[in-house]
Amino acid sequence: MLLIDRYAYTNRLKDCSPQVKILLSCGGIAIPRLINNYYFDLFTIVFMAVLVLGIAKIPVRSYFKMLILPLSFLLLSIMTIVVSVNGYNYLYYFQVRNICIGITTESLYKGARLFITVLSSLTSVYFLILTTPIMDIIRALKKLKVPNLLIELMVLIYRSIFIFIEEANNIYLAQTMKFGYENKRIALRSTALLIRNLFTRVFIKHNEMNISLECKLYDGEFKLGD
Amino acid sequence: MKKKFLMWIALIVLVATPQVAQAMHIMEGFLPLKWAIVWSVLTLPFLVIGLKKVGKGLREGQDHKMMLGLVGGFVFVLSALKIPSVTGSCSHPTGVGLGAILFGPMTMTVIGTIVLLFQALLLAHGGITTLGANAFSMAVVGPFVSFGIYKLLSKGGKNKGFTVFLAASLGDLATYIVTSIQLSLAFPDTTGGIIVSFTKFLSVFAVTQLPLAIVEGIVTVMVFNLIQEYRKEGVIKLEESI
Amino acid sequence: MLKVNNLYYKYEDGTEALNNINLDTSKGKVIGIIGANGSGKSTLFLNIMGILKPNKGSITYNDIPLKYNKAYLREYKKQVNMVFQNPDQQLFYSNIFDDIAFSLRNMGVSEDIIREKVVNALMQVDALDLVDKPIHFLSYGQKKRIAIAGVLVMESSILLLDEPTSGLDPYMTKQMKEIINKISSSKTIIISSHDMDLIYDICDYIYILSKGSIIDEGEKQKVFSEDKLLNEASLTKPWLVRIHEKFNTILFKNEEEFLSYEERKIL
Repeated sequence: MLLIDRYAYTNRLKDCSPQVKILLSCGGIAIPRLINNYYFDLFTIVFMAVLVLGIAKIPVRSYFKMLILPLSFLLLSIMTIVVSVNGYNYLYYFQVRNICIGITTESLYKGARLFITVLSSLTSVYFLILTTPIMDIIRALKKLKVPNLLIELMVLIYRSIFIFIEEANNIYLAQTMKFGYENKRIALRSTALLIRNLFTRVFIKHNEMNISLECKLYDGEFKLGD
Repeated sequence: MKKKFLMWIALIVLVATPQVAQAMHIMEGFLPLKWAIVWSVLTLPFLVIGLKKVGKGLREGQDHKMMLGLVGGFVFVLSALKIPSVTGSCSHPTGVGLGAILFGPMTMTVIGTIVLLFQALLLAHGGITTLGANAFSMAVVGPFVSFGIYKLLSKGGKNKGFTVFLAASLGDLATYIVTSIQLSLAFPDTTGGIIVSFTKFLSVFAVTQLPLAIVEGIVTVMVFNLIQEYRKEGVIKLEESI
Repeated sequence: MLKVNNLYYKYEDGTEALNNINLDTSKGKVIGIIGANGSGKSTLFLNIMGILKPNKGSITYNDIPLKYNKAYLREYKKQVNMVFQNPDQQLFYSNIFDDIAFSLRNMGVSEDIIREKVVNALMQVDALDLVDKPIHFLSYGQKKRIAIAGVLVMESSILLLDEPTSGLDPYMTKQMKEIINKISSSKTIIISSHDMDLIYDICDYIYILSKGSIIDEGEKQKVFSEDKLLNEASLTKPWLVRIHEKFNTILFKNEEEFLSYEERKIL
């Protein structure tokens, strides 16, 4: 799990300036929209792939797996947009009673355009998250004057995520040892138990960590260095 | 004739393919710039108010910052779990229902937004450009609906399990409806306009979202009951209002 | 110099946790507290830290009794601090530098001094090479070292270590022993552990805790020869002591002495 985090800390571009990476990424999102030329979108897609695969040296397999991740949503949504009802200039269609459902040239074109623009934004953001450690991103947000409370919560939540992933994993493994996921019904109950136990640990950890915070002279703020 | 047949096959395959049913995060880059900004602007006031409330609560009461951090980690991991779904594939819960009932909607707005951000950054689930839109549906509307229904039905003295189930599943449904609205506004149908587009999105995603809402409702009731057990035994201490 | 004087502590539900505890850190550089699970070691530590308040008795630091107001405890914690058994409960940031610097930033120390002290603390626990890694990439042993560094950086005069070697593999245990030896040259250490061999090796003075009371105390050779008391506390003897008792060899002070011993032939 959290392979992206691992790549962010181990890739070849990790020490490169976070500001540059963020600017590149934002540029990859904004500029194609402003220029509105689909060849530029294609260029962005290729450019980002080169950065990620060629320079940062992320494994090709992982990169393509990541691209496929949102594919079901993408295809489903594009299909939904592409299929129109009672339109004109149908390429393919079928009729149900007196309603025409099908694909028009225009909607097909719209779908293809959408696919390309989504891909260019997607690859731009993937470039950012694969090459930039989260703490660098949070520090950049701090420089952008995001409210301190939000920054502190982000830092704390980021750390907590890993604490709970490990806990959840341990509970899950222990449950599988006891055949906790044999069938759907049992799996449902095991999942509920897992969640409840995780929730309990929120309190336990809170008590423990508060004691540590006291020892470290916590004064209400989780300061970040620069 | 052959083309018609092919289209049917395509549609069936697409819909029936076991996918991991996610809550409807709008993916990265999907919304046109204009709409991405509109939804971010709409979410911002809720986030600001939520942040103010959280900040106020921290200054007044005991310092809960660490607790909020832990809750955030908990909600994130919750949304990364897999629950077996009715349709055969797996679902990821949203955590919205349970979170809103346990921690309150305003807090969930702040925490939910941060969790969404981390989902985009760590799991490539959802998006940064679509953070505003997703936050509106999942960190604002969802929690408020869940919490509202929970409170409303609790007052009426209805069966607690039923209340929690309804709160969680309707929260999920509300999220799904809002997301469909967001998508249809951004991509109105060429002939039918927004209404037709809305109907299209609603029906296509119903296949995954309706079972998800039901399953999450069930799991939320189960977890809620288990938590109540622990409260009776004194293992967990929670506010009396829950 | 820390003293625990006739301390009694009861839990909220009324169970007695600590009965008439007397402890004096001037007895040694590294003081060991041994006892079975539930004997009260952690509770004692929390009392010493000022996190729990005794029902009777007192804790005195440099002959001044502890005051339980925020300002006093703040200064006290700069002098007396603790490393907990579970590293995860005392690591708050994912960035190692930020986590170790946490207490110093809370004390208002300037950033360049912080930098110096953090590097120093990392060197003391042999973890300087880890500084660029996020904490969630570290192994359990590495996390334990970072947790120690996070407290070392406060440069307290007295350091409490709660089970510092629990869960560590033999190599890491040896490393931890060396770290503790290094640290003990500049501060007094109170260590609680189940590892009798570790305690025997590094401690100058030992207290045996059993069901909330101290049933014995003294230097290691004395304490570990008291069979009856060790039994009462559900403890075992360190191997070096057992060898000495079984084979009538001399009682070696530590592992190195034992391993480097050569029998001299009597002419």
